[in-house]
Amino acid sequence: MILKNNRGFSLIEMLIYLTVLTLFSVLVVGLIVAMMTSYRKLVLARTIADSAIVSMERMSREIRTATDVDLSGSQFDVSPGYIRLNTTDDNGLLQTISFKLESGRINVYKNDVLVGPLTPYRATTTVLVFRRYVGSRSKAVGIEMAVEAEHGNDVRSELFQTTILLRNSL
Amino acid sequence: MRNPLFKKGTTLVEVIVAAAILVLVVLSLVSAYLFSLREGLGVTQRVQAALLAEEGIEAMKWLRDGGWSTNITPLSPGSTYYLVATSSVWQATTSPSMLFGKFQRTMTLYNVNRDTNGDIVSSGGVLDAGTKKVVVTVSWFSAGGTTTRTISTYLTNLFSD
Repeated sequence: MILKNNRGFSLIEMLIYLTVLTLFSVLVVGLIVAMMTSYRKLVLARTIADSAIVSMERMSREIRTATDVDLSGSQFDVSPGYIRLNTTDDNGLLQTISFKLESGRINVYKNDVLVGPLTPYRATTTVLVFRRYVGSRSKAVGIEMAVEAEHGNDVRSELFQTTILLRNSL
Repeated sequence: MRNPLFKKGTTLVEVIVAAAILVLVVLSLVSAYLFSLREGLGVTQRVQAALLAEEGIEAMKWLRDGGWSTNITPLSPGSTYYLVATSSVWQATTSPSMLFGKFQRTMTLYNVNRDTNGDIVSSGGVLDAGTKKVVVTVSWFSAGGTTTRTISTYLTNLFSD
């Protein structure tokens, strides 16, 4: 009884509705796919930036406070490079700090004893090159680093480079 | 209570208004998302640029340590220089170079004037030949145009050489 006056839809109406619905669905699905893709890219960018900041900060600090570079424990201008720095600990006692690229991780060594990796679990350090700049008074160490991260099928690799003066080498 | 028998459905105007509101809401959400995405993806370049700018300042200090009259005095104030490392030595050259194929790093020195109290003043005062202001700028192209990051400090003739 309730549907007595209902004449249903005409074919044209049906076609218009279907077209609108299809267009809208395509738009929404496209939007969701694009958002998922860009989210993956965002995660990659953040992983790489985090890894680079942590590694560069730590190495910069140690180089800045080092009194000298121990040449016998360092490998310059090649990747994977490593460096051993002469520094002092909290009590003023001599100690060495080393950074080595080993199987995708930058490892920190204190007095040649492994402390742990700087590269976080989800990122890989693919290139690590140390450069040495020796002036008449001061010494500086350059760091070149490539960090790679992958998420699903997306792989991204970025280069980072800086140079730090050994403040205590004067 | 309305009788379902006389329910007339929505008019065309109502449908258009509803659709317009929906589109506006979706558009604003998408543009907000795009903005945060662009900022989020740009973080890599900002970290790279910050490290390169820091390197520029360190290179200038390295040059200062190597001799004020040898390395700093020959650089004319206000001119643009590019800092490059060749065979374990830092140099300030006038030939432009790109870093990583996308960053341009420039360095400019400025004269420093001091007043009678010895304080640095932007105008007037007497030229202090033993101090220079160093400005390092890193610029790169991104989606929204050219982005620039600048850091600056003062260099002094620490070793009187």
